[in-house]
Amino acid sequence: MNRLYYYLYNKGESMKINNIFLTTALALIAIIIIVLMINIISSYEGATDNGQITIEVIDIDQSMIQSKTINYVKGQTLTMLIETHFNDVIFEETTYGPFLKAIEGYVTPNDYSTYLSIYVNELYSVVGINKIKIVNLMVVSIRVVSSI
Amino acid sequence: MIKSKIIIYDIVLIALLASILFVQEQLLSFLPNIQLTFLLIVLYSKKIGLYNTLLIILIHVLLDSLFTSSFSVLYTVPMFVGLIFIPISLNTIFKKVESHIVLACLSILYAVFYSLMFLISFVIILQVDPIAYLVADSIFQVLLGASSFLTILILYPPLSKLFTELLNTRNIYKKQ
Repeated sequence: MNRLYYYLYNKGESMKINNIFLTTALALIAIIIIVLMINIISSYEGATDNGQITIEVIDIDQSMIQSKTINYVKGQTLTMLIETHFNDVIFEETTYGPFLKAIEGYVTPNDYSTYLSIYVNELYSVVGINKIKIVNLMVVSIRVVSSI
Repeated sequence: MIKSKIIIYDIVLIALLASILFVQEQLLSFLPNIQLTFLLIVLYSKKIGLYNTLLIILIHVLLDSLFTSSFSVLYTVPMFVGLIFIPISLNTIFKKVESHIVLACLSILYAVFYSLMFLISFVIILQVDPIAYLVADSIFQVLLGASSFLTILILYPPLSKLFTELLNTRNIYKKQ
């Protein structure tokens, strides 16, 4: 009986120690993944060559507020081009990158009933504005859209 | 009399736990997809049952949507569906799961499910390309999965013990 108790006790202890080792090892792997992912998210996408893109600002009623064809050079980003070539530009820094809040007289209201949505070559952009890699002859539309 | 006391206790508990859930998310909002939300919902699901947790999630989703001005079909519905999957599964198919390591592994599944709900909503409403969305969202999915995994792995055992002690002190939910 004593032998059985001793065996079970030791087995329980070793399982406990194994559990701690496993938890620590898994936690370390998770921390490495988190650091790697944050590093990827915070990196910005610069142009890899020189070229020309069109950036247009479209109002909620589909009328054109402003349209500009811009020559860019290697390393420039879309946010840089918008800040340099457009008026009243305000970027709000969020954890997911910069959020375009105002441009060419339009300011996103505090209740976000309308906001600025980014389309690349007529397709809704699934990445944030700082993640859009500019390529030659790309058309970027910044559209005022309703949140409802 | 006893029944009404339990109801009052439930209401207070739900309000308190919902506020903890909401506040921690706002406090950690400076870090992308890193929060204790999944950990807390897993903990609530295991400790206070399905219906109370569903109510907490409903309050949290409504508060979060109103606070961040994202109250719309595009965000609120997938967020709610993605989160209620946790208590529903933990009180049905994964009811017997108690190991923090298994729960941490399940949180990866919850993170994927949560992100997929947004994918469905974006594809239906905004008609985005699902593959492009998945590629763009994959980093955030991994980050959400890893942060949920890590928090459950490290914080679930002590919080679970604390929760059990606190609930048992009040002689309510003693069976848990």
